[in-house]
Amino acid sequence: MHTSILLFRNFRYLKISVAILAVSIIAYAIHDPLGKPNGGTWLGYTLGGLAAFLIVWLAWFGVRKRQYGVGKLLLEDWASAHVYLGLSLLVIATLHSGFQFGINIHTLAYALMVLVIGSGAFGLYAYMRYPRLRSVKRGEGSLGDVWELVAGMSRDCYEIARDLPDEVYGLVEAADKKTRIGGSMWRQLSGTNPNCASTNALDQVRDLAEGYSGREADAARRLVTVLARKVELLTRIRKDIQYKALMDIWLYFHIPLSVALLGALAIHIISVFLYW
Amino acid sequence: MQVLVRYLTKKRDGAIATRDELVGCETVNLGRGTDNEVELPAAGVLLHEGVLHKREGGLFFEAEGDGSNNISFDGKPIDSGSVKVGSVIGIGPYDVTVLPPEGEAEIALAVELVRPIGDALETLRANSRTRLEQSGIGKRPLAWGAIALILLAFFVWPVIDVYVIDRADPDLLKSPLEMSTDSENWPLAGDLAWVTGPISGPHKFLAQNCSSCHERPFVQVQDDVCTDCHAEIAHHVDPKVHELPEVTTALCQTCHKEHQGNEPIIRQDQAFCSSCHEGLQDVAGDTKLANVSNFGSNHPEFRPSVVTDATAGTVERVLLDTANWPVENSNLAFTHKKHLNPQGILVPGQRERRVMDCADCHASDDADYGFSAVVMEDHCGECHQLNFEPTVPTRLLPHGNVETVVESLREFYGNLALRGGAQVVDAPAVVRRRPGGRSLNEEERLEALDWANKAAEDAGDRVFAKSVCGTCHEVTRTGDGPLDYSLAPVIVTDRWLPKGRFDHSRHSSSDCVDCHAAPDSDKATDVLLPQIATCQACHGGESAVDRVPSTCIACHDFHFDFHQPMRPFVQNAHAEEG
Repeated sequence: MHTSILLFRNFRYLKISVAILAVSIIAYAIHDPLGKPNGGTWLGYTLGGLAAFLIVWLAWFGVRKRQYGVGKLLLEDWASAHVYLGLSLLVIATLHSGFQFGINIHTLAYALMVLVIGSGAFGLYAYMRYPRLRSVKRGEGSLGDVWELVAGMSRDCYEIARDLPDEVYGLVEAADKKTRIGGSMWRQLSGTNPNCASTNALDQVRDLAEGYSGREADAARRLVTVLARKVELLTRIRKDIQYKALMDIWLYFHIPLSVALLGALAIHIISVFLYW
Repeated sequence: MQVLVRYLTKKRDGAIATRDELVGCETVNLGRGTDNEVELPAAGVLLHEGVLHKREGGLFFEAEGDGSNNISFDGKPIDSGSVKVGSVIGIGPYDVTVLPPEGEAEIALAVELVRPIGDALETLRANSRTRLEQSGIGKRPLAWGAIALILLAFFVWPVIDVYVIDRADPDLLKSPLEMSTDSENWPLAGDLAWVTGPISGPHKFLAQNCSSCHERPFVQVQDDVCTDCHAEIAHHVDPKVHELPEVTTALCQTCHKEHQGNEPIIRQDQAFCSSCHEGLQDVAGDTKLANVSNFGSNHPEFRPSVVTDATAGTVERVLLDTANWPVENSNLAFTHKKHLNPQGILVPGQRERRVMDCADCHASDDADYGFSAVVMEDHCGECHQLNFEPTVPTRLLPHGNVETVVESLREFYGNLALRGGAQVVDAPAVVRRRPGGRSLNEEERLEALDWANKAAEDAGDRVFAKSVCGTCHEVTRTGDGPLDYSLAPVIVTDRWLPKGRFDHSRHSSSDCVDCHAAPDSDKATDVLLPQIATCQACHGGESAVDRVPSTCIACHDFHFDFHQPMRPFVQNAHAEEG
């Protein structure tokens, strides 16, 4: 779908955006206002009105995507237009500002808009890049199957460690009960877990096993083998979780910042005319 | 002895399956390992938990190991003790219940996994959070929080600050509640966040008080806000002559854009003027002004206001045309060449010749961007002394009109004659008598006054001739009577280019003669202005790259003092009459 968004209808929305940008830039270049270019000239109001309409319309995508079969345009139309018109907004709003920035609600609205577009651009990148990486990394079946594999290994470990000393069995228990995948937002994004109980168990069992002999040594060797496979599997699952998190995290910026932008935009417009 | 171990397993449907094992042993070991008589193969059980053996009077359970066992007796956390039929030994997740002896077994035990620790998959799932939504941070709360913060900080608080909190009467006694809503106690004026850009330099003293200009919400700043201070600001064109509402009725802020940073609020751009003045006939058809669009490349030659006939009081704008240079007729005889003689000029009472320079007469006047007027007494009088009586050389005539001069002569000689003591050789004795003696009789007085009249008229004839007044002025006899003289009226030009502004002080690095050819001017009628080419040698238009970029406002004002104030607006006279 990610490719089809960009290519959709033979770049229709790219062409529309480029046309809007071309007209805006040419108008800005020709326009010779009194004083410095700013949002208060006729072109400033025109570009500002266009930008405000685009922001509200782009935000409406959040509503539209929850409705199915509404309106003449397909959801792909909306998504494709959302990407291209959203990017063009960066130029239109900058021209509206006349490159005048300050410490005020107006520049705050602009900054929020830039952050929203930036997070959206990252989202587009994530949707284009990570799904492919995920399918490569998973390799063996669905995520559910992989989890079954991990659980099965935990069970195997109990079985193997049954006659091994309590300290080894304790590690096996911890590896089962305390191993966690993902966790906090940061843990999911990092794709690693430096305090993984299974990794810890593997390392310690490996050390302890050096002092064993006979049947115990044999069991410990088998235990290390299973634990190592489990750790390797966990590492791959965590990497997969990381890609998923990266595909989702940008929305945690994109959505709240969009809503904040709508508020700042409303204040920007009201305050400009309140103090006309 | 024989021990019956009955393993109970709860099935999915709730029924209990049993599996009996008969073990022969001396003592009954319990634990995880396969070497125990009672195997408890679940997590949470040590390899060897304890041992059950017979003692006198019954069974006894004794825990093994380092005390990390998780053992209870009938629910009590004790790890060793006597065991009777019905006792329940809790070991980790298992309950081991002592049953009555059964068959050949002396001891019977029921083993049931009553506290399962959970399946590995469920444990892993329970431990893990693999979606960002599970992390406890939601997009919705973030969104609501962000917009609430922005609305509160940048709209609710400013509106309260501006429209609710009373800034007046800070000295009023206030309750704590009132104090808390007094903006003076707040760290920040809320509406500062609404400022679109820094206010211009001259208006910065208003920067903290938005409502001093923004009087009513959603209404543009009105002109009366500006004219509160700038009451004298005058029209660009006379609204009685030109019907140009876009110039005469435009709001101040149409041109004077505030909040543009430290830019001057006065328009500097060339296009602001040239948009009309490059084709002025289209805007004001009856204009006499020439078109202009760029000082460097398209500005008409200067047309100074020249006194072409001071006698008639005629002042005309005449082009500085090399082939037909304007001639000034100020009725004053003067040449710069004579006065700027490099050898110097003679000064009465001094042996040395004095070399004069421009500043001897033309004193700079910063207030008027030019020079103060040349005053005869100050700048000419040292040489051109207005003395008239050789025996009283220090006595000078006032530099004024003919009547004043005549009056002064008559007063001087009348006073001299009646007071006596005159040194004039051919005067009668009564005039030359020693002053302070007896009173004159009628006859003597008449004789003295008769002489005084004659002396005044003789002096007048001398003064009004070439030697004194006539040196500079055109003197004509107006009748046959004594002292019937008149002087041609003099008009000296104060501003040659009154619609422009030239700041001499900013050109002090140039010599006067670089622009004004005074040393070679041997006629009083010479107009010593430079042509525009002289200015253009250094100054170009707005976008000049090899000249000083100069826009219209460098020399011209928009609001002309000689027009009426712009506000309150007076309706176009033509329109009223029409």
